[in-house]
Amino acid sequence: MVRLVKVKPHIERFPEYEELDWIVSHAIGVDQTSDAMRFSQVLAQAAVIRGYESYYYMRYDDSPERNYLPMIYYVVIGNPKINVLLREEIEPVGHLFNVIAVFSSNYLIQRTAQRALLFDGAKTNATLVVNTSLSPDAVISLVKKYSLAQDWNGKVVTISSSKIDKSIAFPMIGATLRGYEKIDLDAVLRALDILGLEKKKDSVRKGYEQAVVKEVNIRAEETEKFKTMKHEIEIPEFDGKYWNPEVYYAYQKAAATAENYVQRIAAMPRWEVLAPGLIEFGPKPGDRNIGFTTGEWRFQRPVINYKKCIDCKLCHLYCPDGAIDFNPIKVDYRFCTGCGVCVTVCPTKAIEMMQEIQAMEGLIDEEVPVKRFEEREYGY
Amino acid sequence: MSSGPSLIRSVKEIPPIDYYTSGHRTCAGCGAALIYRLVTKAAGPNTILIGPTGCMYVANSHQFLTSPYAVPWYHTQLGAGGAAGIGIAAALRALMVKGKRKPEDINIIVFGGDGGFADIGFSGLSMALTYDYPRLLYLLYDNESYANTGIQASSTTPWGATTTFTPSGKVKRIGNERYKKNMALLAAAHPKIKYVATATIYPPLDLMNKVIKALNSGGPSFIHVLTPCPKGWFYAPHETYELARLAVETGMWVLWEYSEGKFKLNYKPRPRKHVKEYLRRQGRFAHLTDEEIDMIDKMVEEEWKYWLESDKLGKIILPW
Repeated sequence: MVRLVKVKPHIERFPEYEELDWIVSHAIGVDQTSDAMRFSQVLAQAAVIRGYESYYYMRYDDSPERNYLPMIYYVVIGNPKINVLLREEIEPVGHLFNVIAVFSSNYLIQRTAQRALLFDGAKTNATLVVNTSLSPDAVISLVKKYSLAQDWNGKVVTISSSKIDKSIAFPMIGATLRGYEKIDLDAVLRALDILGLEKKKDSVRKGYEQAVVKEVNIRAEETEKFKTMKHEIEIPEFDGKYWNPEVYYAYQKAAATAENYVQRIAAMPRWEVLAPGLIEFGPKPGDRNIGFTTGEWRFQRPVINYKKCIDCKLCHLYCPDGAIDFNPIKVDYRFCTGCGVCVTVCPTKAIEMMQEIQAMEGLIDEEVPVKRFEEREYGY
Repeated sequence: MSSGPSLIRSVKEIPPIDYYTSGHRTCAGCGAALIYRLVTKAAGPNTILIGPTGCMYVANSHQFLTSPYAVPWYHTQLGAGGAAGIGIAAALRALMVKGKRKPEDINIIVFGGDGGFADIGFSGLSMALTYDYPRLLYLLYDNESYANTGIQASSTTPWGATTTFTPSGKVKRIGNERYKKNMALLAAAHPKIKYVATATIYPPLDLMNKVIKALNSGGPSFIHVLTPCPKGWFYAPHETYELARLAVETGMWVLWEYSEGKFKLNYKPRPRKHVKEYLRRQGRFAHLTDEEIDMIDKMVEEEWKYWLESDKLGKIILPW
């Protein structure tokens, strides 16, 4: 049998990083990548205009390059001496983020694939900026319910960007200024001039004016996560037997219980249990790869109406993720990425797409159906 | 093929088990992932997969040291797909001949992208198709660009498409000015080749049965599969199936097979839809004018005369 040992994930803290200001944006891969890029670019430029050293980056691990995969951009603003050390695109760990910009509200309720929950890494006085038609109160209740517990007395800023501009980035920039003091509107307007984005000045101004701001004061004990959050994770112990699939699969089961990125890394299989040459074991035929679930990507989910279903199996056949069971037809929401191919192939229209936030919380966010494809920049 | 392998006749007969399962990092609505699923379903459990570098290597391997493959999968460098295929086939044959392994039918499927087979790995593929190893299938999943690295043009990118290497702009409005290379015709030019076909995810049974026929053809075989790519073709992920269907129904993608010297069309669109239905759904063709799209339609119309003639004769006539 596999013996499990308790591991307290070691979080390396870099005090010098925490002295800096960080702005992190969470967006839907490919669909919103260019928005997150513009958002970060303009804010970094504005910070430079105000005399700070600043740069923005995206790590390859944060996955900008796949449709619907949650992706992350970072802006770092701070004093030059420290910043020189930071030129590499580092993996930010610790309580760093002053602003968390959420481009799609499904990230309030879903763990992102690699980065765990939204408040993992935030400073206690962080500002949460959300592109949503929901009220700040609704956002706060979602944070209380789903986010990793920590004390938080900052601000929530919501902005309904589609009413202002086709691009999400510029209203979001305006909204961000309401909760972040180091950059002001004038600096951003000058940054837009420098970057050749003069046309977007109005969108930023409107975003600044129309954003709804609410002060927040939450103690960690008030959140639902506080009671259930596991600070330790149980991972299998290496028993001296190399290339042991039993231990390998035990690692995967442990990984499924991980609460954040650091725990997820702790539950990665040790090299000793892999085959020589670091060869992974695949799932057994008929199983799925439970070590890497993709359901967290989803902002919409297919719901099958079994009264209309004629059991033709086409949705199973055409699911790119293989997330629909053959018999009986059933969606495995651990893996469904919400692409919607099953809806288009269903001959009886028995499958409908529903917003994830609606399925889980009964709320409807008008901003969630992301902008149409024609309106984003080609490439990324 | 009356005495041939048993084919799948309806959707209800498809094998329920996936050998390429959930839990991978491909795009939502990825056409290539769908092809992997269908092909591995058709090939069954006794299969070795080989993947030259590409989207389907990067997105499928080492996610927290896990793997979505329930059958052995092996990564090769970009140009090495052809050589790796015959290498593994030769090793298996040698082991079986020497009695070190019990003789059995093992399928070897090499999935290359258009970079892996049409551009960088073409020489290796061409070399491999001249061998005589049975149950060795080279499958080109053609998403018409180097989508993994950010949609650069390849030699299978169609005329007019925007890519990051051939962006449509003010000076050069037409994107890609080269024409799409027909890889299946090139593969058919190899002497004594047993089986060459083109396919796409529509109709699904056509693709799966072609895989079964290719694996049972008794020699190296090649299938060129058109793969809708939501990121590179610039459409919403849910349209993957629709675009494959329209590619076939507009005649932009011709489904044919060439088996032991006999050419056969598998699908004749009657009446053929105008290509605008296919092209106008993709952002990469958004800059084309109606006249240019009509021109493409005329080109497709011309080409089809040759395809129909080829079908009548049972022999390949070059359509240009």
